[in-house]
Amino acid sequence: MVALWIVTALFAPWVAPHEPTSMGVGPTMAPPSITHWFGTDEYGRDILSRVIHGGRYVLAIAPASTLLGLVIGTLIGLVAAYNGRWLDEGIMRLLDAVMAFPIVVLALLALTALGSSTLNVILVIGLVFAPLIARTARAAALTEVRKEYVEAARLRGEGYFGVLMVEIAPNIRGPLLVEGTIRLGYAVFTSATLGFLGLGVQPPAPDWGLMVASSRSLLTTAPWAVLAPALAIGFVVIGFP
Amino acid sequence: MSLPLLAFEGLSVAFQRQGQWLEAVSDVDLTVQPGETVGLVGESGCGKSTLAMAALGYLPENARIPRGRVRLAGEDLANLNQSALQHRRGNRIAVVYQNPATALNPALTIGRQLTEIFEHQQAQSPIEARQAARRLLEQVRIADPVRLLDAYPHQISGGMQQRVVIAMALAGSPDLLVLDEPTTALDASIQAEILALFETLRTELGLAMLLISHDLAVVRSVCDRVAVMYAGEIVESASVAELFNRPRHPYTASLIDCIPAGKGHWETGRLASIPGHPLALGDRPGGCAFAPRCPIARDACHRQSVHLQALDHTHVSRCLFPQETALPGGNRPPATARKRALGPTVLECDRLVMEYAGIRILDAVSLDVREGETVALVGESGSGKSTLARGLTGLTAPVHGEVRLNGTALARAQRQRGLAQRRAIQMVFQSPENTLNASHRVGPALARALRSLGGFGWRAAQSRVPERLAQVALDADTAKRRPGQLSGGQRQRVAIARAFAGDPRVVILDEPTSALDVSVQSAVLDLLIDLQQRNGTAYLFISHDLAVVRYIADRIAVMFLGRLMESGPVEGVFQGPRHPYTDQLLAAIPGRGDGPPITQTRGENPGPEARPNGCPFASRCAFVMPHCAETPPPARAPASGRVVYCHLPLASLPGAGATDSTQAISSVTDQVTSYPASRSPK
Repeated sequence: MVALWIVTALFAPWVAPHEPTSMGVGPTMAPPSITHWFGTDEYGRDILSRVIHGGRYVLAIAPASTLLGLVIGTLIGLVAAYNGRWLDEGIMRLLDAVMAFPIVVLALLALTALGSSTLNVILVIGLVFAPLIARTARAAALTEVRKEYVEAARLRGEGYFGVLMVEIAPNIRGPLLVEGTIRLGYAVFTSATLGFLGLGVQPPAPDWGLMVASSRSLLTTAPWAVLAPALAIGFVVIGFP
Repeated sequence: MSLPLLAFEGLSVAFQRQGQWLEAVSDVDLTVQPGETVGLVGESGCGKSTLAMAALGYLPENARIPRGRVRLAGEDLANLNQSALQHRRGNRIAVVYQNPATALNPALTIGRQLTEIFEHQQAQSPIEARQAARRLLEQVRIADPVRLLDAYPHQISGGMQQRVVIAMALAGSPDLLVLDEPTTALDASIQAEILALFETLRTELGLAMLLISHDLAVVRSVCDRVAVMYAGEIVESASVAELFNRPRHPYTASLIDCIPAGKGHWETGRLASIPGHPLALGDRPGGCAFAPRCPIARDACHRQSVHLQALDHTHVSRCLFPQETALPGGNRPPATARKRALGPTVLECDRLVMEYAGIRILDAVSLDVREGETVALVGESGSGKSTLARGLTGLTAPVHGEVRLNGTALARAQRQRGLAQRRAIQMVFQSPENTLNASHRVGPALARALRSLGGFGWRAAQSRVPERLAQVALDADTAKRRPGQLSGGQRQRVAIARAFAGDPRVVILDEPTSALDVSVQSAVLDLLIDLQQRNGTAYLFISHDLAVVRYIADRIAVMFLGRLMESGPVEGVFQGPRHPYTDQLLAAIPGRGDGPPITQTRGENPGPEARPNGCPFASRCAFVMPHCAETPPPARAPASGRVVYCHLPLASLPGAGATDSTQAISSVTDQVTSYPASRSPK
């Protein structure tokens, strides 16, 4: 499922039967048919093409923001676990405070301040995910920092980041990988939510969240216009982990 | 002969690995008669724990029994259904495992865990059950059972935990106890107490026991009969006296010669070591399994399969040439005494104080190590040995005191020390599992150490890896392996090579062999001795095993609760007079005397929070006097270079000479009314 999505999104211009933004390629609000598999929307745009193209945004945003979250989160988690004591306390309480806000509220706040663009969406999702990943990284690193190979590295006088990145980081790969794939699914979801709220990618770009938002008034007359992008989001979110 | 309680009849156990059935245990015949204690000895991976699981009908899912059977009091285990099996476990046969901490449920009180057994299995009322639980704790010699019933497992010491586990095993009044490495996780002195407890239980309850251990000395001190396993087969079985005085299998003989007996320094005779490695599962050659490592193997051994043969009615051996087996001591290399010149003092610390969370763990300890010398640091867990190591290396900064290297004071924190100072002091750690980084291959890991300690460039460091591996007797191939693919002994060798990467002046060895099999231990000790001979390195050897210390150390420093109890040359301390605490540690070496070591249940260790002003050992000392806990003990010097911190006059110290000390003690007793006259000094 996910592989199919990645392939179609990568080759969207060749796979999609129509331009995602060109209007009137068919009748308006046509139900699914042989020519338009997912039907068309209120401007007569082909929904299948829009869903396929919309995948490209998600493909860019989700992995990039997750990667950013992983890098920042792992670093914070490692520093907290390795230094321990007051620095650990301080960092973790600060993260607790940040995590007390719902992710979407935080993202909303940041995006309203920064203005919305694809890059900003990536930055914001990455940053709000970082505390969650930092907790996982810290928990995994806590058992590692007590191990003797870390002491041996300190005895050799390896540098601070040498110990963190070369010695400890490779040994917490497992939990981080699991956390990363879960976050990847959530990143899709979060970016769609932001799109739905109009803070992500701007129209007429075929973003899934945006599509759900703009067509939701048609829910009774042309449910396919909402259903198709909604199902796409659902499959990808569930498919990742 | 009566019906044996437990009988393995030609038992084989196979495990499925990647679609193949591999035999972990082959054709084992072994019986345990009522009231008998049988030892089962072998190195890790020889199949002894598999045998224990088979005895309980506890084999894992991926195991099957292709041949033979297990009989429990005549019943074939294979014919029993689950509920019948469940009933036999507990009422006929019970088991005690190695690690008491994981055998107890941390969320329930000791009382709850014990009464549960009586309430559920024997349908007793809560009051009856609590009384039964109390009786059980008394049976395992717990001094204050009522208080213990309401304690949680983490509130009591490891030795106490193991007593509770034994009590739980006794709850169903079984006829047979299976003890799977019951003392391996414990300190030497606690081990001695638990072994003494087994002896008591045996005489009081007439229990039969199957004691599984890698430690021949433990088995020797409590068993009637011993079976030795190698590569899944029993290679020899005999009475204890027979086996240790006249072994008839070369493996047994080599194993005996690997044990440090606590009687001599290495200069007077090295330990034996067994060349090669134990066989991997499913890697068995056609002939005798031990032939590739055997000192007397010849062509026939490699070709024909060898069966157990009876030498007399109790002694059996799986060797073609049992009469040629060397006598104990015969496998040891001839003594190569070598005069070693000790150099000047390399590392010393002066009144070092270390605290953790405001609690003083180390209380003004001074110590020095000279070039080419091995100083052993001895004491039980919690005595502050490892804390001292951390203070010397600067991994944890001391609160007071000074550490000097070649006379120059070092910065307290390791980070503030220069490269030359860092490379001069290195460490080898205890646990073979954690000492190496699991995600680094051996080659790059060593190269990394050579780079940061040896000051080599990346290429130069890499090109030196094979040579460094050769120095610790490892193949150049090892460089490509990950730690997970190496045995414990191999990993410890890599750790040693890593510590020696910058040609250190002092290496602190924190229990480097305590997690290893005896044959591997002797090989690692040998390696350490050779490295010291070659490089003149000074060692600070931390250990709780006095037998090992006697073998490797020149001087010894004994610690208790963060204070130094005594220090001096090893010979002097072993001969006496010595500190009462040292005496207690010595008595705990299993198999050192003729019978099992006798140690009384002692007072509690007050812990570092409640360390008395005076002697910290006072609450556990057999010679305690009223003022011991109040006034700090004076330093006494029984001989030049020796110090004993004790209130007893020199002539009354343990080991001062039997007749003298008894007189001295009686004169002390005259003055002190509360003196417990329970124990006579050795």
